[in-house]
Amino acid sequence: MSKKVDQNRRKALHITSGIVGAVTVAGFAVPFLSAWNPSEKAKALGASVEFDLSKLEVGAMAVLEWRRTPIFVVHQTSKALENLPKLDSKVTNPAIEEGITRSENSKYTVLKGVCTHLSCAPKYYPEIEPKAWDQEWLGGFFCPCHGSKFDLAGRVYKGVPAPTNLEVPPHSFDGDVLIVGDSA
Amino acid sequence: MIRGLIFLLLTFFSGKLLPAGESECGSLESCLEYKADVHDLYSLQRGLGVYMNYCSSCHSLQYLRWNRLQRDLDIPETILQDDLILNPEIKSSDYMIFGLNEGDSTAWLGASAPDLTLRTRVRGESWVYTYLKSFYEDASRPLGSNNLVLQGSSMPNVLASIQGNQQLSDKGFLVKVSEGSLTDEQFDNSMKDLVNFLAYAAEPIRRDREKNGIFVILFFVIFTAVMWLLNREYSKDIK
Amino acid sequence: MGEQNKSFMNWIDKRFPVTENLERHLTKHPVPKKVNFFYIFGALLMVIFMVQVITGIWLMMFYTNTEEGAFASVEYIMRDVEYGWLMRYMHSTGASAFFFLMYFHMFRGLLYGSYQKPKELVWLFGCFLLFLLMAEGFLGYVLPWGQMSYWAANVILSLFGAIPVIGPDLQVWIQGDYVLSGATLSRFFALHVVVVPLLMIALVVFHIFALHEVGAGNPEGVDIEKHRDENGMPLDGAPFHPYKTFSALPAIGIFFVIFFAIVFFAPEGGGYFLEKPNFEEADFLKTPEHIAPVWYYAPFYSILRAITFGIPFLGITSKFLGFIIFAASIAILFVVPWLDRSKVQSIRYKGIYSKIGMILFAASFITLGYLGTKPVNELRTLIAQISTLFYFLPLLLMPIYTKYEKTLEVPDRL
Repeated sequence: MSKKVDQNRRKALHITSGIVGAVTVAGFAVPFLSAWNPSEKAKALGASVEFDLSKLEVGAMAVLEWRRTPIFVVHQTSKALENLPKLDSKVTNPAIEEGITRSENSKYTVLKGVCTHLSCAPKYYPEIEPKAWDQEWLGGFFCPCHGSKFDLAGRVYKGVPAPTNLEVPPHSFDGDVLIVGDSA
Repeated sequence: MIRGLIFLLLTFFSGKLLPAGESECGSLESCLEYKADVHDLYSLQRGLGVYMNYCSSCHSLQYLRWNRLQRDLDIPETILQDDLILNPEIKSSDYMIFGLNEGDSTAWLGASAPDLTLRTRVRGESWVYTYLKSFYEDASRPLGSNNLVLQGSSMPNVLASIQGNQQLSDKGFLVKVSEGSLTDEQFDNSMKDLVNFLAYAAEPIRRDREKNGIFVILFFVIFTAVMWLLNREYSKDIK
Repeated sequence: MGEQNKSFMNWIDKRFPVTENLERHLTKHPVPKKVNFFYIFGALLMVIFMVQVITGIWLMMFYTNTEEGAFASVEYIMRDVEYGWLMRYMHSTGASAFFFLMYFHMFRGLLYGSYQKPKELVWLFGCFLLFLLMAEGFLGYVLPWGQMSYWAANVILSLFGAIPVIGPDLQVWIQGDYVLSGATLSRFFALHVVVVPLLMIALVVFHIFALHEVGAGNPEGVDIEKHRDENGMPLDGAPFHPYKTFSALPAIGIFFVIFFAIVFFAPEGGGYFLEKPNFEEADFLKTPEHIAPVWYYAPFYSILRAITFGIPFLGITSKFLGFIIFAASIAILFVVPWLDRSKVQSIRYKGIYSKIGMILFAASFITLGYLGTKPVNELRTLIAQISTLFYFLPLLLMPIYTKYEKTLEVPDRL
């Protein structure tokens, strides 16, 4: 301790080694954090799914599975396409800019079958008839868990627990084939 | 005294030891030395071509995905779908599983064709290289061919058309008896491409780790230097 | 701000003695000023232990512990998980590094008498750690479920079957099946990831607490506690932090340079760290041509194989005797503190017999290790038998030669 200590040198060394140490920790963290990203297996399972629309009758709904989520594909009737704009005032977010069907196709609607309230699966009631939950029902989805109502394009009615419209998954059309998921 | 012990340790760790499972090349005294080069992209692509033409009718690559292959070997999307996968039912994220299932190959060949994904890691690159070059005509075998490296191998000599036929001389050497479509040199290079490709398939990440490892090591060299300076500064206190 | 910090630490310290323990084990703990490179292995062992625990936890997130899924899940880690290959190679290289450092650390102990009174418990906890590490390595080696995993484990488990009377039943009980199977794999997984690591953590804590109670040694075998300055700090000692911590850092850097050179450029370690047959899934019907243990078990495996004779009139088969001698080769390390009767600690001041003894011990350990990786033949078996003898003799004769040999005078100061 008798020799003079160069405090400036020590300070510089402290800072340098501190930086090197921090880089080391950060460097070690990168692979460990990235390992939690979806693996190639998960990506393979989560790849896009295809669906042949030519077999879906008018007014019918098909349920696909994509990333372990039910995907509702509705072939809209001309009646439904007429009715949908009438409901603009009844729904919370009319989403007019998305088009009537809210899809890239004027006949089909593609929705994630997950209620935006508490993740139950809404049921499909296309009939135009008075229902227990709505005397002026024009067809749509009704969630049996907490009574949320959506129209045939998945738009949420006012005054129900669900806050937002049913989500539209990324999708595209290739002729008669619907591709759900990011096109590869 | 300690120096003597360190010397002993060094002599132990130098010198060639034969580790467990190191395959000697069957009836050959030693394998032809070959070290795969997984960094030559064109060689890997040519190797893939050889694999698809001569191996894929029997041998799958059950741990390798098509899209991984596409990414690593820089294969255009259209070529992958139209020239390699062929079957539209197969997605690019599927594994490279090919036609012949184990039951069929057992019935035809008397043994199942092994999956080749990890084979080069089990046998070693030199072994595979030597094996590919050591087929010869043998009328006593059901399929008319035998292999010096793996005697009684049930694999037929699918390479004869490009290599030409070989026979075993009285002294136990392989002698070429007919010409194939490739010259000896071309055939050699094709087999090297194939081994390179198989080495890649056995460990796709090898390209990355051998390319980038040097940066990690350089970083720790810097780490050592900085920490050495720090320690030297502080050890002045206690001199 | 400073005042606030102080009162905050006061509040904590009254309830949980942080400062006291930090000072006791880190900042003020006195360590000898002058030691040689042999004294770095303890710190490196802490580093590698952490590497193994962290990479192990991550591997566990992706591994499948079933007979059907284990092998494929390792390839899943190698190919599909981002940086999974890095975790796996770090873990497998780490296992070899762990043993490498452990053997040097223990050899240091033998050279400089780090087991002598009052350090007996430090040494004992260390020996238990070696035993646990061997168990941990063995259990972990089974998990990839390759050919070597399967058949090497078969060999070791059949040793338990060699124990007279209870042997066969014991083996079945350990396996949980009549053969080594998925049942064995699942329980080995649980032991490998939870039970043994927990015991190891506990023993590391004991090891360090005991060490800090009796004080770290030095290559001279000088007791630094004898001469203190006015503040009570030993004259030949320096506080653990910053002197010891900072001197460990460059060593850790060098260690990582070598470690990552292996991880990135030779993860198979030429077939010694990851054995070739282990890239083939376990096959109950096909034994690999040559079963060899990984290098770090080779010395002990060699001892096991060297015993080609039994004691017929006692009903002891050669297989069982091999098992006994094999167990004894590890057990004898535990009693070394009571075998050494020397007045001095360090080999530097011990007599010629101790020096010859150490050379013989180290040379036979290395010879046995070399032979353990090779197939047997008559000559090799003979050499292994001689080496086994010279592994035990220096330790067994220690009470005699250390008591009577002439030692040098140990200096007062470092």
